[in-house]
Amino acid sequence: MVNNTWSLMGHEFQTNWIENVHQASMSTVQSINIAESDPELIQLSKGELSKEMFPLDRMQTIIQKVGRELLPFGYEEPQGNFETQASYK
Amino acid sequence: MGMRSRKVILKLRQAISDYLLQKGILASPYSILIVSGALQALQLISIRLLQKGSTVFLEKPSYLYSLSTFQAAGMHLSGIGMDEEGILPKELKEKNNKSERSILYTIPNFHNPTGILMTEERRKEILQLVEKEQLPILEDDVYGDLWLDNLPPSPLKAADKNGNILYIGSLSKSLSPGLRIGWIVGSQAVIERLADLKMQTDYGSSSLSQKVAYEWLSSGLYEQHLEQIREQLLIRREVTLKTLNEYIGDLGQWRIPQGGFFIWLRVFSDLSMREIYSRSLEKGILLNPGNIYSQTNTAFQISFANAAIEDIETGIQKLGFILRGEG
Ligand SMILES: Cc1ncc(COP(=O)(O)O)c(C=O)c1O
Repeated sequence: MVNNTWSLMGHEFQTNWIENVHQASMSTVQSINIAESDPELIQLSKGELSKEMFPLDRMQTIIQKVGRELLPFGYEEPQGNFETQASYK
Repeated sequence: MGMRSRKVILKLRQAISDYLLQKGILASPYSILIVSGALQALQLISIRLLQKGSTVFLEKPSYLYSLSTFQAAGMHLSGIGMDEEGILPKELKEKNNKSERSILYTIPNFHNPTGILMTEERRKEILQLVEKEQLPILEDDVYGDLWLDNLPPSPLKAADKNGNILYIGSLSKSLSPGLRIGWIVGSQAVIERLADLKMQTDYGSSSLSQKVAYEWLSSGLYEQHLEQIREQLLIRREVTLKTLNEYIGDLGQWRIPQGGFFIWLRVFSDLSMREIYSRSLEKGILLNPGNIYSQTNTAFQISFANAAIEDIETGIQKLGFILRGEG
C-alpha cells in the first residue's frame, strides 16, 4: 500500500472522523434506512409515494422539453436558478 | 445582438414565488433559496443560523428526532406535547426560558409522524406566543400540498411580518424525492447567509433538476398532478382505515389524517415496540416504531402511500395477528 496523507493520519484521525463530525443515526433508523430499499419487504411506513403514483408520462414529456430547449449550463446562481437568461439565436 | 432575438426565460425561484403566493406567502425570488431537498434546508440552517447550546423546541413525537442534524451542530431538542389540534402552546410557554436562545421547529400540516393538522385557532395562539416570547420559527411544510379533505389553513409564514419565520418546502413528498429540490423562504439577509453556506457545500443544486422543477411548477402540470395524487391517496386512506378497523380494531387507536399519508397507530399489546418491530420484520413487513421519533408509548407509523394496496391490507392483517400473539 502506498502511503498518502490520508493513510498517514492514522488511527486518531479516523476516530475523530467517525465519532466527532456527525453522530451516527440511531441503530433502528440505520437498519430502517437499509431495509427501506428492500423490494421483498412490505413497506408499511415509507414516506414516499408509490411508483404507481409517479407521473411517468408527464415527467418524460417535461424532460424531453428541457432537453430540446437546453443551453450550455454550469455552476448555478448562489440562491438557485432565477436571473432572466438571455440567449441569442 | 438585438432585443428581438432575446429569449427571456423566467426561472425556478420566480415559479416558486408564484406558487407560494397561492398559499398566502408573499416572497420575492430574492428571499428564496433553492436547496437539495428539505433535508439540506435543515442541515444549512443548523450549521449557519443556530448557536451551539441553543434549544430547539419541537413536537413530541417528531420526524426531527430521527435525524441527528441539530444535535450534531451542538443544539439540544426539547419536546413539547401535542393534542389533536397540534403542538401545545401552554407547555411551550412553560418550557421556554427567554434568556436562552431557542427556536421552534414545527410541522403544522400533516405532521410527521402523527398526521395531525394544526387548526387555524392553534396557529393563531402559536403566532401570538412566539411574538411575545421572541421565539423564531422553523416551519416545515413538506406535506402541505397533500391535503385530502380540505385546503389547510394558511401557513404560519403567511402571517410573518418581521422575518421571524423560516419556511421550508419540497417536491419530495408530492412529486418525487429523486429530484432533490426544495426551498427555504426567509428574510433576504438570512437567505443570503444560507446561500453562502450552500455554495460552500455543493455550489448549487443540479441545473437539470432545477429546470425540470421549473417546468412542473410553471406549466400548471404540478397542480394537475396533485389532483390525481389526491384521488389515489383518498382511496388508499379509505382501504387502510377499513383494514385497520377489521384487523386491529380495539387493539389500537388512531385518527383519520386529513392529509399527508401517515396514520399514527397507538397499539395496546403486551409486546414491546421492539418485539413488534422484529416480529413484523420476520414476516416481511417494515414498520417504523414510534421510538425513532421519541415516542415512548407503543406506537407505529403507517404510511398508506407506498406499498401496493393489497400489500397494505396483508401487512395490517399480519400486524393484527402479531398483536394478538398469533403471529
Ligand atoms: C417533515 C419532513 N421534513 C423533511 C423531510 C425531508 O424531505 P426531502 O426529501 O425534501 O429532503 C421529510 C422527509 O421524510 C419530512 O417528513
